[in-house]
Amino acid sequence: MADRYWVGGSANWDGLALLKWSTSSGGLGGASVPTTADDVFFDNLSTGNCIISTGNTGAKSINCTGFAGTISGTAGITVAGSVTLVASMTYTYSGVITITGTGTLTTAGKSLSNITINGSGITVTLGNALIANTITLSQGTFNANIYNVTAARFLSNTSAIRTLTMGSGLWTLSAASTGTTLAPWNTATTTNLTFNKNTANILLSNNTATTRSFFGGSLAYNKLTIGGNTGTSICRIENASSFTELASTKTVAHTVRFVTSSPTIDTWSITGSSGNVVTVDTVTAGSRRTFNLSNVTSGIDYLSVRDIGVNQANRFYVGVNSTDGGNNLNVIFTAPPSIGYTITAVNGTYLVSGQNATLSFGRLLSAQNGVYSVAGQAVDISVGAPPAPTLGIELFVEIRSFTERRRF
Amino acid sequence: MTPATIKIDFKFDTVYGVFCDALHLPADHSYTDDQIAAMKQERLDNWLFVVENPPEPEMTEADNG
Repeated sequence: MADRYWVGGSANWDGLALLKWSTSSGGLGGASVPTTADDVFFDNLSTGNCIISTGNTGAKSINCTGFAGTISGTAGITVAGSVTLVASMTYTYSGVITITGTGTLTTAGKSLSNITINGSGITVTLGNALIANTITLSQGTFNANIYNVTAARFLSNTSAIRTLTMGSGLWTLSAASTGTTLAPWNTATTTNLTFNKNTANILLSNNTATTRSFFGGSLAYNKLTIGGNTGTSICRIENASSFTELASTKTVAHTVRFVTSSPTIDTWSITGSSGNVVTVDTVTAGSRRTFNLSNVTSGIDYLSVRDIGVNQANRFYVGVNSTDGGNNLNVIFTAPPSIGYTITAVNGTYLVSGQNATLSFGRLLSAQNGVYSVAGQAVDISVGAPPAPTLGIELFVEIRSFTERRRF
Repeated sequence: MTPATIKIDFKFDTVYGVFCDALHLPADHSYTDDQIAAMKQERLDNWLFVVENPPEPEMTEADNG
């Protein structure tokens, strides 16, 4: 293991040492070509355009701190550890970087081409937001940390032992294809895959009319958003994945197509609008696909629904302007019913729609649909929520405070 | 020898969601706050450009709709 500094100016990084490498910063050339046992540095004394070329034997790590030159080329390279790019450099390299060792990927806003993580027991962690073309997790762990991941696609459709930690950033995936190697997401094979959805959201951002597939496997995701404002496209949910929320930000007509049965959706928030109907259907007319829906829908309208079954009754309200394409089950073409609650409040802290409301002893809170302010906190009692299992809910906890709200 | 650096995490709210990124600067840097803010803005602008101008989709596999 040694250090190798680029002193080759504008030249190929290939299998020929010549005078391109030094053992010290700005030192004399003549050192051997680095291998995956050597740390490679492009620093403030490195200049020119290093063209990564066929014949290179990789690096243990690549660190470009201080470098103001260029890295280019198209040949693949193997790095057995960290890659550190910097804003001051020019980066036009379009080859595949295969990472085979534990390290941090810090790219300083540079757009990478393809990245493959492939090492038994290794962990690759993002040091900042990542922009790339195709990200492939073949083996090992990819940890997106707290940063955004922006790519054409993410693929991990193997059976090798691997872990994907999504982190808390936004994953924006721009590919549009139904092919297993070109789709924006493919984790269809979940064998030996440990998946941590964390709080990351996935946004399918392609804005063309090309069909795109989400091969999610039987994994539980946080939020999946069908994005790309324009493009009357089809988004295929290929597998029985679970989603905390399934959403769409498209402002044009488009289609959500369920290919297989049994996805689980906690919150459905895909709605159309007048003139921009969202079609929800299956691949083959007459062949119903069913999914599980955890929460009652609200505010949904202008859908065209065909061959869709919901395993739970009285949850999938799709609005009066939606149309029934036939062969649906438990799809209700009305708005959800308005239900008022009567909550007899006694001393205590109440959990209402996820928020604490502190009420005073003996007060009666007669709630109608709407958003209420109780003791300084917003209490969202959603329209169309299912009837409360009991009225006169009493939770005896501590007395905190009371603020009279005359609107009740 | 790997130079010492500091990491500055930052985030912006955008119409596409939250953009979370980080700057890695030399530990002895002399950048002003304005310069650092400009670097953050540049990262954001770069990301927005990529999101709004994705590459054309590859079409070598059949689209089975």
